Amino acid sequence: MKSQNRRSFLKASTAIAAAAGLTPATANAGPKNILSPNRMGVLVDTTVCIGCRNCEWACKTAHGLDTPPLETYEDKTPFDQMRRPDTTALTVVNRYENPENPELPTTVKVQCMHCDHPACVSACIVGAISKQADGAVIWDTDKCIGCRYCMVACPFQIPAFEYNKAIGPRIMKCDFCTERRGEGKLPACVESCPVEALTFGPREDLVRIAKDRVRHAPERYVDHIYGEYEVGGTSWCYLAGTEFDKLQFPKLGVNPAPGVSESIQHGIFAYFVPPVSLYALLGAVMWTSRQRGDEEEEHS
Amino acid sequence: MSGYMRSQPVTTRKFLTPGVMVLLLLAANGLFWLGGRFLFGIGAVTHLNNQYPWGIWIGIDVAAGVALAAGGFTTAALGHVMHREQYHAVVRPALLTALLGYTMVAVGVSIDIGRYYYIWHPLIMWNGSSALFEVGICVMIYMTVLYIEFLPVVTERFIGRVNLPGPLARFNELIDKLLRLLDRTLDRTMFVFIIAGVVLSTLHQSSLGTLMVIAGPKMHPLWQTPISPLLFLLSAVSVGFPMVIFESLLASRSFGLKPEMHILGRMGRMVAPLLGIYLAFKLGDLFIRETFVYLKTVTTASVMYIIELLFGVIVPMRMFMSPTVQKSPPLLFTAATLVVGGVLLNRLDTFVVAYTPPYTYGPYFPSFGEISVTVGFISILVLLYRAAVIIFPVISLPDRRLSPQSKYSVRG
Amino acid sequence: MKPITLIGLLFVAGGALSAQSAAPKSGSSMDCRACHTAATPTKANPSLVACPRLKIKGYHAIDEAPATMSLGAEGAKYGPVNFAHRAHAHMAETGKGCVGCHHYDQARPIQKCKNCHAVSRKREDLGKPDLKAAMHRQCLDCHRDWNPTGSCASCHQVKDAVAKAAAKKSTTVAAPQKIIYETGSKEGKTVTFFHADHTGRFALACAECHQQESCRGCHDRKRIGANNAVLTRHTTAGITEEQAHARCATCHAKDECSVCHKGMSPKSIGFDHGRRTGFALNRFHAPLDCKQCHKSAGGFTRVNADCESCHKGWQAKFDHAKTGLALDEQHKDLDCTSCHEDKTFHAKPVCKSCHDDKAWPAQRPGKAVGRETAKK
Repeated sequence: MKSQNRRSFLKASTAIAAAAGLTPATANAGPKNILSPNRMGVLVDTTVCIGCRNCEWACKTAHGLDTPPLETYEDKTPFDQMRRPDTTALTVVNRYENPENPELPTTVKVQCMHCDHPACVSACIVGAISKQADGAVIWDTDKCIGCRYCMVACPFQIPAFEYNKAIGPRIMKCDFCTERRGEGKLPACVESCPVEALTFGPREDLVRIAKDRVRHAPERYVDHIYGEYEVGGTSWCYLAGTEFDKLQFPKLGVNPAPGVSESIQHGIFAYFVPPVSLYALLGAVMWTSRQRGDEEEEHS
Repeated sequence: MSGYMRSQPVTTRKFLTPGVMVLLLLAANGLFWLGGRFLFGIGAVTHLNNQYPWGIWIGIDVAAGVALAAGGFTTAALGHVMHREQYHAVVRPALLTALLGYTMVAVGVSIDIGRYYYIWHPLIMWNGSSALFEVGICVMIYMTVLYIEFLPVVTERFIGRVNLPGPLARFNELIDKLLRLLDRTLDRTMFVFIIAGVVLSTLHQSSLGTLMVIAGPKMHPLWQTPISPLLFLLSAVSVGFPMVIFESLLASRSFGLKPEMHILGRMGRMVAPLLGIYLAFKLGDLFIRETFVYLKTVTTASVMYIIELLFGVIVPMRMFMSPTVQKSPPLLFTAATLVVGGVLLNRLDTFVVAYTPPYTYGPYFPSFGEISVTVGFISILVLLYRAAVIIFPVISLPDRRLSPQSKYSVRG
Repeated sequence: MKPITLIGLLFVAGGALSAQSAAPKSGSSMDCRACHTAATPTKANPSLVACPRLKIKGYHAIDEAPATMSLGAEGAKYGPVNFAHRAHAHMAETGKGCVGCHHYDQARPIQKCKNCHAVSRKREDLGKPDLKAAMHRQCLDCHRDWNPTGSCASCHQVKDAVAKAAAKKSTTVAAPQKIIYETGSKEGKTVTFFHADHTGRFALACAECHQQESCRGCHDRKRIGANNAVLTRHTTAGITEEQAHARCATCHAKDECSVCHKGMSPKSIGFDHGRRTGFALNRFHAPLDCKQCHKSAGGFTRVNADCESCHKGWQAKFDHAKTGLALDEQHKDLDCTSCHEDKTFHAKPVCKSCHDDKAWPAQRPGKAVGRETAKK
């Protein structure tokens, strides 16, 4: 029986090794992450923004969220608190002090940055989130299991979750108006902006335009296009008249947010070599130690 | 020596005791709040929000749960892979702890995710780059492996003793035959699962450490390190034996049995080097990344880090090195508890304390409901353990029979 | 100039320039030589041709400009803006003039905005704002400056207008009564500028003093209200003496210091009536109060220099002897104008209309009495 044990041990080990050999092909299954050279983006010029909050209204209307009438947006008291996008508002505008002119504060629209190398896409357990060729980072609600790992991963703290729904709570964030754009329309916020503080276009063009603006009006802008290189680049980029950390933009490096995590992950699972090697090693240890045990047993 | 001991159901005590009543009460309270989560959503019961997506349900129920169930794979590696027969007496209790622990992890994950009815999605929807996907898949497979590893305990309990009530009695023979077939099959293939269990454990124990790496600058630098997966694995390996010691001594006391000090003491001796390796990496990380500067100021993070390292690693390491401690049940229990607490705190720190997002409306502190559910789960875990050792042959007891059934005595 | 206005200006310029740099791509027909004289213009020396933005004060008289215009199309919520173009053109005189809005408008007649600014937001050339944005930016550059919280309805007609009509109110210019300048002068430290008198009584147009200023200089939301009637300004810091005096000097250059700096020892009365108005005050008129002649309320309107306008029927009861010359019988009943042509009484009387052989002052038409005037 013992010899049989050893034989079946070998057989099973080969079977497992063979099975492991097959897995790399399937391991590549994952979410779409296309980085098209023609991807679109939006350039947000915070020096142009007048804080009218029309974009908030337009966004809610376009996404079928509960929307108060437009006149109520003339009320500026919501600016008294820092607000974050949530499931009831996928974009919000915040107000910051303007040292140049206290009468005209700087207002900053916040929404998903649509990263070129999104942490959420890398993190999502079921691969529900994907980066599209048109630049949008969108998600498939039907796949989502509500684990909220995307929220943990996002360096901009954007995805929001419907915490007060017992059944079918959704992750929600700016979807770059994928549906509207499919109909040939502009993103709702871009369309509604009275002063075109939001410029929609191919990201390449926008970065060039942003650089032009900074070059031609260096006293108006800080020489930094936020999102050009942050976390490997984002589809939405920002221009500002004051340092970005004063406008509560997170200070982020140029490495893609999922970089370290993915390299660890791929290191551990480098074509399943480390796990299979470990398996083989343990098998060998088990075999030899059991043999030794048997011998001891025979001797006794 | 082990020939005189054999695993058998504990029959010396009744199930219901005052302690059990308290646990039942805590469990009921937990289930009450859990009901609230299912009726009104996660937000109704927890203090989680868009700024703090993960709380103690992930930090304790899941992360600490997985870590503290590490006793299962470390003893399996010791007893079966390294083939140290003398440890077989603790393999089954450790296996049971791991089994129940992982079951709690699975349930804990299910209640924490918003769409619990889609828990099976990762099985068919893959994302190879997601650390969570890896943890999820590994935990699912490992849990299956654990149940398979536990099957012999079930077959042992019921072979020749299948006695279904009433009209079902006619199936008695058939089930008995099936059990015997299962038993024979498992006997030949068990080593596959045992090794798989160890491999899967090392994989997901480390991947749990990868989970928070992606949070990047949102994590406090003391815990945000690229070697986090290694630290998680090392701490899981070092908490395995202390957890077995902790739980074995607790069970002995609860059931009025003599503590198996000859095994536990020897296990204890192995803990210090393991903790030493963990400590070395932890300190190395602290100095190479120069994060010790964060310890100069008194903040929640620095205090927690010091407690975690001092009382969770350094103090118990010194204790485990002492022969006095190795021989004294209370001291051994204290040392083991410190390690268990230290690892639990480490997981809590990594997943909750270290998570400091840039935009908040206030800090996160778990709600009464959240704490109730976690405490309730732990209570249920203890109750299940108690029930399991009464029903199944898990704990090694002095054998009173003359001819021990050696075939079933040393297999876990 | 307010920084924001400057910034806005530069931004628009930047936008337009960036549009040029994008020219090869967007296929625009704009030629670099249209603006630059040099082949390789640099930032330090752009070699710009005489730019209309800087030079053109007005393309035509303001009153030839359209009085009102309807701007913008019907939106979902807001109707077009009834833009009081002429009023804004007048206001622009104190600012950048027509080019403040009609920038880079070299060709005449004045270009339509949409010749450059695309009507649709979805477009090829993103270098310059679209029409809607350009208009809003242009208006808001000033409107937001003095009223940062201004609602859309302050310009746009609102569809359901009844409730909103109240929201539309014309902006008032918060002109002060007087401005007290705290100067660095040792003697006569304060200079009080009677703003209301200058705009009201002297009827000076705003643009005569205010040039190249931001809208907010006058339309200051904060200053609207009675308590802003008297402003205090400190002119000690940051400007030279010349700069401090420049604005007043256009009129007061030849005045004594004490005219403005109260407390300085007065050397003359100040206002040179003869130089300013062409009607020098003689010794009888000089001591009079201004209001005795300038009777109309509000301002110092021009008074008819004809004596009759003040001294009604004076000729009938005039005793010529009071001038120091009692007329003889031949001259006593003559009309004044027979000798004093054009009623310029201080000029030499004319004799030759009657006498070929006589001339003033060798021969006199009477005898001197009492005090003889040395003059005349």
